[in-house]
Amino acid sequence: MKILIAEDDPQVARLLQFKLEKEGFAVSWAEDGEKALEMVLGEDWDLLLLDVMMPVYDGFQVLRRLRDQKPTLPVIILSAKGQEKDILHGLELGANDYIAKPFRPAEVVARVKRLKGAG
Amino acid sequence: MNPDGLVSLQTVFVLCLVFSLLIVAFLLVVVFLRLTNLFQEKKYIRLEQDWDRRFLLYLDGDLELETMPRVEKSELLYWERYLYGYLKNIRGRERELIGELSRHTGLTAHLLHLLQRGTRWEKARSARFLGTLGEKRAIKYLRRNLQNRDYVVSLAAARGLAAIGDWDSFHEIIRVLLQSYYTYEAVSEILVDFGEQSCPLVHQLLKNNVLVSAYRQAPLFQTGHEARASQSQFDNALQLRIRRESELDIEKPEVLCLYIDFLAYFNYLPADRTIQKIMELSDIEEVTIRCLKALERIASPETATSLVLFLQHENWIVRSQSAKALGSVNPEAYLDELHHLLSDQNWWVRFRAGEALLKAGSQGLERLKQLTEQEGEPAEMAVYMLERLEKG
Amino acid sequence: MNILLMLAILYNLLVLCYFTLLNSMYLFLNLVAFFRLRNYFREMQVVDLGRRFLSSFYKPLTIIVPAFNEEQTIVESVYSLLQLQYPEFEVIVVDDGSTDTTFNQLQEAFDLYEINRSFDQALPCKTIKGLYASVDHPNLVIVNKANGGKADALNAGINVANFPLFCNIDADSILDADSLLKMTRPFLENRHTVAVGGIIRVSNDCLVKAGKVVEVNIPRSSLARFQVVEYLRAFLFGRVGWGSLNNLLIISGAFGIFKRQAIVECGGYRTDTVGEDMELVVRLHRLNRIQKKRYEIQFTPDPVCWTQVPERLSGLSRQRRRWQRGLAESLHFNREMFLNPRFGTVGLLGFPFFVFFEKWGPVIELTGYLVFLLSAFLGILNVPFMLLFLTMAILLGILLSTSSIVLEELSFRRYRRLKDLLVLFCYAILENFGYRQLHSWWRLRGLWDFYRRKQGWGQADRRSFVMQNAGSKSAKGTNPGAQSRELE
Repeated sequence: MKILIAEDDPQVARLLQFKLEKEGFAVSWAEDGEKALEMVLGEDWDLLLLDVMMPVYDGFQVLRRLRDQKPTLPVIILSAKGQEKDILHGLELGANDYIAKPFRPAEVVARVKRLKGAG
Repeated sequence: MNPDGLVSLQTVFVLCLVFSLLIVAFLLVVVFLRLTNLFQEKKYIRLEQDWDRRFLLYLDGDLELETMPRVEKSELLYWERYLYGYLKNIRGRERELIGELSRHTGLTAHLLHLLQRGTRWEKARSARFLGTLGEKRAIKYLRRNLQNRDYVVSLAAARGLAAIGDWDSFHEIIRVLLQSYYTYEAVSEILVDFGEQSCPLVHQLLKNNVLVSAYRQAPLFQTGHEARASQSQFDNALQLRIRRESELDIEKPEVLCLYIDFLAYFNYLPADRTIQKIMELSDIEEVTIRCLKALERIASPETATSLVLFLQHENWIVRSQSAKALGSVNPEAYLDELHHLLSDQNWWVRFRAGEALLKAGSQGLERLKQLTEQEGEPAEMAVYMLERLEKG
Repeated sequence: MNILLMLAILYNLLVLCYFTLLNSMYLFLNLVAFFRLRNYFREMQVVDLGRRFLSSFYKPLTIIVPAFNEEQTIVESVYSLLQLQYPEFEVIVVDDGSTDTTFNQLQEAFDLYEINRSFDQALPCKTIKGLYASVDHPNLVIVNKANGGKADALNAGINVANFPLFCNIDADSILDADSLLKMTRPFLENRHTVAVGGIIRVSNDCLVKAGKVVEVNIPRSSLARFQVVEYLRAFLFGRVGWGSLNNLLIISGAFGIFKRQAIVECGGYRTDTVGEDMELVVRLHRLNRIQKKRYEIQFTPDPVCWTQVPERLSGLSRQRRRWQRGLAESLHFNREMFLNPRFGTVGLLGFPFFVFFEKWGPVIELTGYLVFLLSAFLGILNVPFMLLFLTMAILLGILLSTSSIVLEELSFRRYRRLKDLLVLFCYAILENFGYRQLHSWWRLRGLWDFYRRKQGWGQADRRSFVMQNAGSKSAKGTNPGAQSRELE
């Protein structure tokens, strides 16, 4: 099961990668919006963990573009923006779930597993 | 002719030399700085990779605390940067683990020391780290730093105390921050670091305010049994209030606004009646508008009854915010009033009233459609609203 | 004959002392800027940028974009503005009576709809013919009005603006995504802030993606490279320095945020000057000090606005002539501040400095060269001595230019490659041998323009606002708004 993490903070990415690999997933990392878009469109993935604040394209822009071509890809948005408006915006654009930073690592893993079951 | 009297040839020559040397020095400084920076970054990356190997396992519970390597004193700065990078993004059990690790490697002790005796930047960094960690031992130093005249130190201390949740400092933080040139939006931003768990306490403060205001206006507000039942409450509240006011020594409305913003930020529903009361009792526009903004998020149908009164306020901001708030609560119950508001002379008021009608379901839609048959501004707004609905 | 000799020598000395003073002042400003920047960056390190900038406590903002005959670029520019990161903002495009298809382009692209939004006529402006909203973008407003010039368009925008802050921006500026967030911090942190300026940097040959500058490079053109050094010296560190002394007299029209109430109270922009951006700031100082109000005009070093600079001499000379004329006009309209203690440090330091060194600088410099050459030719000078003195003055100038490169390295480090930095260092040295002199010549002509027009105001310049600022656009420059369009 392949997961792509789109996140510009390397420490967050490493942490999530570690946790998810332990659960048996194959994890890749894109450090900005442009790379993330390239990678997500270029291969088949089972899940996308998408940060909102990224250089070049932000998370919402990436989501908007990828939804046409990958309508069934499960997407979890991960962001420091915890306000309602942004959560709604993300869900409107097609995200399946939303996790605010600071997060509980175990919670991220649990949600990933849950979406894997559903997707 | 040579103005020897003014300045000698030698002086000028020396100056030329000095300047040339300085220029060369600048060049060297530029290269030096760039190279040092490069070197430091490489060192950090190396350390990071080293630490990552064990840290992530430790965080997952696979490694015991005792097996974690010691950190050299010279590397403590990098260690702090490394740990903070994880700390700021994580909460829960892992945060506690980081705390234990920080203590075990001597970082906490080092930072506590810097908190007392470091430079202003060291104090600020330590405040940030220890605050995020929730390290209670830092509280007494942070309280001291809060009183520091240097705004960098005092601000960092305020944030640190809020992050730890030191409730006893709440008022002191407000007092210190409002004394500076900070706007109260900036102060609110710091206060919300106290977190959702502080809502009941803030709500209590707000209630005290209401009771006291009410007490002062007793003939208008109190009726029979309510008055008796809360008499003792009033007395207590009044005592509390008088003490607090003298402690605070600032204008009441600003503080009220802070409390209201705080509760609204966390969507604290239990506070809706209190905020409604304040809105009714207050004659300060700024407070009224704050209450309306808060009620838009937390109002219930009962509280909506007072919102209606404000639809006819003389200030257009109050009118439009009331319409907006009503739209979030139960616009269906107030179709007539909102309909009437579409004839308001201010565009924003008409706009919010129109939006509220859109949210009022099929009945609201009916009203808008009816309006399109007519002429004039209400009709234009109705058309605009319906078009927006179509566009989705 | 003897008297003539004396005068010539004295004049030479005067000129050389003048330049020593000028460069020393700039060095002092750089020193002040150094400390301010050091503090600023340490502060940024200590506070979580992420949390700070995503605050839910903000002041809503209006972006005002004056437009005249911009049919080529207006739609893309507006699109990229709508993508900016800010919790709550509106964009007001003021179509200043364009004679081309600007308005139609907007109408088609944004599905415009005439509205009756009420606004107060707080500032005088030419007739506003209509207001339009967009169904897709509820925070976009187009104002269609009779032609009145850029300042008039701005005033109209201020009238229609709804929010407590407004941002004055050129249609072709590229902002960093979080520039607005960073620029509005001073308004949150200090109740007395009335205006904030930001840095303008040169975007020629930088890599632009999705309407943002993604990679910073030094330009390939020599002229542009000189301007990079110049922007660092004068517009970056000079202004940071002045800002720290609370003596900032210029906020660039390309990028500034103001408190709407404060601007309305002081009467808005003047429509009879080409330097309306500077004139406004100078007037803010003047009126606030007359009323003895506490106020702050700040310069935030970090948020950046990127702009294309002219790469041809003709474009650059036109631009600088206009700037000098604007400077002279701004100083002229507020001349009561000159050496007037009633206006505090601005009256005694900032304002006179601008008069003596910025306004009269070119005159003194160029006449200085003439007199020097003449004196040398007539053999009345101790040539070795004067040459040495001249060398010293030039070295001081080089010192100043290169210190800016050091400061850049100490603070922002936007130029990633060491090679780029060294190239800039070379240009900082070369700047003093030709570029500066040329620049002074253009400024002299600008000053001459000012005195000529004082006799009678000619007809308003009806050229496109975008053209006015960039001079002639670089052929290699990328169109900033183009990429963002794809993402809609």
